[in-house]
Amino acid sequence: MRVVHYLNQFFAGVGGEERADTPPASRPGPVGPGLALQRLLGEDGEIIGTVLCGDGLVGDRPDAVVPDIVALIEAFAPDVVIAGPAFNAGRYGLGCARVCAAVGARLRIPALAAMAPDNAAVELHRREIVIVPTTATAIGMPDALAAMARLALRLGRGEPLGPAAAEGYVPRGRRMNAWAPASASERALAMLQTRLRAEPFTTEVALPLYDRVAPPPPVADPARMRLALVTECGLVPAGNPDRLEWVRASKWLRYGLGGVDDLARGDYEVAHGGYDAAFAVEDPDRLLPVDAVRELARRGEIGEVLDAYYVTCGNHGVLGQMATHAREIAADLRRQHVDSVLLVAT
Amino acid sequence: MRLEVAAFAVHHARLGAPSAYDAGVLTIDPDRVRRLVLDDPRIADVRLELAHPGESVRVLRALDAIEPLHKPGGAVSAFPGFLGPPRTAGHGLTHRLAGFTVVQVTEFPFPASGVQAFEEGVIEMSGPGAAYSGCADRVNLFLVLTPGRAASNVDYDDAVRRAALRVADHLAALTVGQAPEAVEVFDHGGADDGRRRIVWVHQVRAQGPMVQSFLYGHEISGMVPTILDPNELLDGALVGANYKTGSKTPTYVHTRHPSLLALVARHGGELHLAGVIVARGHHENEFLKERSAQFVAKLATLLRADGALCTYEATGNTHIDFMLTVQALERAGIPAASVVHEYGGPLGDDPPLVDFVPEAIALASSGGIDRRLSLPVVERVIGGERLAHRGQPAHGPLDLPIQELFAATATMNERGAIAVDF
Repeated sequence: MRVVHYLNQFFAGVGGEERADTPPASRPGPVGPGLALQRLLGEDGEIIGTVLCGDGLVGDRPDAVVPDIVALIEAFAPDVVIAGPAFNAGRYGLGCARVCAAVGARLRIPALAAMAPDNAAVELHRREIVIVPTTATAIGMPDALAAMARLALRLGRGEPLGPAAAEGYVPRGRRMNAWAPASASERALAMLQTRLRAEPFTTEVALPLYDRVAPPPPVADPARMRLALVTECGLVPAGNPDRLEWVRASKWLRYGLGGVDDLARGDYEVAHGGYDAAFAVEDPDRLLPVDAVRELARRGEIGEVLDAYYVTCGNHGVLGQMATHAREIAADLRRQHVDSVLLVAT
Repeated sequence: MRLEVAAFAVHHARLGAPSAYDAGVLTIDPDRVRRLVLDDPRIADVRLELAHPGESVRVLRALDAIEPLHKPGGAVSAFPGFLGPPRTAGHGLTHRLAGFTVVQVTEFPFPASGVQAFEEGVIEMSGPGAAYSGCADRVNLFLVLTPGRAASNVDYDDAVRRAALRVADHLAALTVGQAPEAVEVFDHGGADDGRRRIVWVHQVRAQGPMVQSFLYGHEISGMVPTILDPNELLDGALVGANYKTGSKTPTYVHTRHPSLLALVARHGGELHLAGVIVARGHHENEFLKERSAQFVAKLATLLRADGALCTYEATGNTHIDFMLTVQALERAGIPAASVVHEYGGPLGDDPPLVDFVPEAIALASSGGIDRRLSLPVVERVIGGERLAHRGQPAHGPLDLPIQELFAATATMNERGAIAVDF
C-alpha cells in the first residue's frame, strides 16, 4: 500500500515559525514523525513520499496553496494519505484538515488527519474527513501514530470504518443504526442502576450543545432606533424568484421594501412547508408587520425602518446551517447600520 | 397482587374447523370468527388472512395488534373494560397465546384530514424491513374488515377494536383445560427489604381519535398520571389505538413491554419494582404538560422511588411532555434513565432529538427512525393494492423511511436497536 504523509514545516524539519511561509514541497520517503509511522505501518504500507507546506501559507491562503499540495500528493499515486498529527496547533490542524478534505474531494483517495479534539479544525472539518483524536501536545505522539497507522491501513484497503467509539476516530456527525444485545429498555435500566450505585455511566444520546441566547435589554430610546424586520417565516415575493426551499433552507434572502407601506395580497407567497399559511396569503402583513412598523414610524414612536427585510425558512432547519444564516444576516444588518431587529418567528 | 400467566406458544396457525389449540398449532374456524366480528352491524364484512415470519408478505392499513389473553372462570376479564366490567385485573390466572397476534386491517368509512387522517403502518414479514417492523416475528391473524353501519370514524374504530378483542378472547380461551408450556408468576407485593425502589414511567399517547390509548376501556385524554400494578398491564389494562405508523405502541407491546419485562425479571433481586406510573403524552399546551410532569414526579415521590425508568410513545409533541417529566423527576431528587428514539434525517446527520432538558443525562437510544429502507417486491399483499398515504403500488419495490413501518419505535426498543456515532 502506497502512503503519502503530510507535515508542516516544523515537523518536516525545515524550521519554526520564521519559516511558516515555506511553499509546498515534497520529499521521497518518510520524514520526521514519518519514520516512526513507517515502523508502525510495517510491511503493509510504505510511506513513498512526504509533502510539506508552511503553516502560514496553508492557513492564510488555502485557495492558492492547497491545489499545489494536492498535486504533489497526486504525483506519488498513493492509496491513502495521512496528515499530522497536529495536536493543538491551530493552523497546522487546519492545514491537515484542508489537505485531507481536498484529497478526498479531488482525488477520491481516503485520507485521515490527527489532532486534539478541541483543535478548531475539528469542528470545521470532522464531518468530511476522518480525524484521530490526540493529546494537546506532542507527548501523545506514539499513541497518535499507532492509531493513525491502524486506521490508514484499513482505509487504504477500502474497508468501511465501524462506529467512531470502536474505531477510535472523532465522530463525523452521522448516527447510524446498529443492534445491541439487549432492548433499549434493558439498557436504560442498567444505566439507571449504575447511576444509583453512584458509578460512572455513559448516555447513549449526548445532548446537543445549543447556544443559550440571553434576551437583550429593552431598546433605550425607540424613537431613535433603526429597525429591520427579520424572519424565518419563508415569506417571499410571488413566484419565489430565488427558490427558497420549503424545508432545510440553504439560503437567506433580502428583499426591498422601498415605498412599501402595506404588503399587498398577491404580491407575496409563503415558501415554508411547516404551518398553515392561509392567513398570510390573505394578508402578508400578518406575518411580516410592515403596515404596523410603518405606522409606528409615521407617528414617531419608533425611529426609521430599513427598506428591506431578511428572510429564510425555518422548517426542519439544520442547526449549523441556521447559525450560519444568522451570522451572515447579523453582519449585513451591521453594514446597514441597523441597531434593532423585530424577529418574527412562526 | 399475584398473577400467574400460562403461556401457550403459537408456532403455526391455520384455518379450519373447529377452532382448537394443539401443541403449538392454532386452528382458527373462519365461520366462528366471522360470527364474532359481524355480531356488530357497524362492520359489514371480514376476510381472514394468516402470515408467518419469513413469508413474502406485506400488510397495509394495519391498526392495532393484540396478543390474545383469557382469564378462565373468574369475575375479572382480560382487557378489563372491554371484555368485561372495568374491574381491577392483574391477579389470578391468565392464559396467553404467546407469539400470536390478532391484527385489524381496514380503511375508515368517512374522509378525514389533519391529525385524524389515516396513517397506515406497513408490516413487512420478511426482507430488510422485517427487523424494524412490529408483528414480523409473530404468527398473525389479520382481520381484513369492511365498514358497515357506523355513524362516524370514531364509531367504526370502536367497533373494530371490540371485534378484535372478541376474536382474541375466543382464541385464547381454546387453551382452557390444557397444560401450559410455561407458567410465569408475577407478584410485586411485599417489602422492599432495602432494595432500591424503581418506578416505570410509561407515557402513552392521547392526541384524540385515531391517536389514542385506552385504560380499562376508556380513552385517557382527560387523565392525570395514575399508578398501576405492573400485573394490570400484563392482563391488558392498556389497549393501544394509535394509528400513526411507526410511532404506535400496539396492545401486544403494552401487555409485554420490554420495560415491564426488564423490571419484573429483577424484582426482588437487584431492585424493588415500586409501581408503574401511566402518564398521558401529547398535551395541548405548556400548562397541561407541566401539570402532568409534576403529577408524575409527585406520584414517584409518594411511591418512595429511588429511581425512574422512563419510556414514551412518540412523537415530537409528546417528546416535549416526556422531557418535562424527566426534568420534574430529577428536580424532585429521583434520578431517571430513559429510552428515546432518534430522528436525525435519512443520513443521520441532523440533530437526533426535537427537544431536550439539561437534566436528561441518562438516555438509551432505540435507533434512528428517519433512515430509509429499500423494500423488495413481495408475493402477497394484505390490506390494499396501493399504500394509503403514498399511493404507490403495494407490491413494491418501495423506498420508505423506517418510521412508516408498523410500530417501528416500540419494535426497535424491543429488539435492541441503537444509533451510534460514525
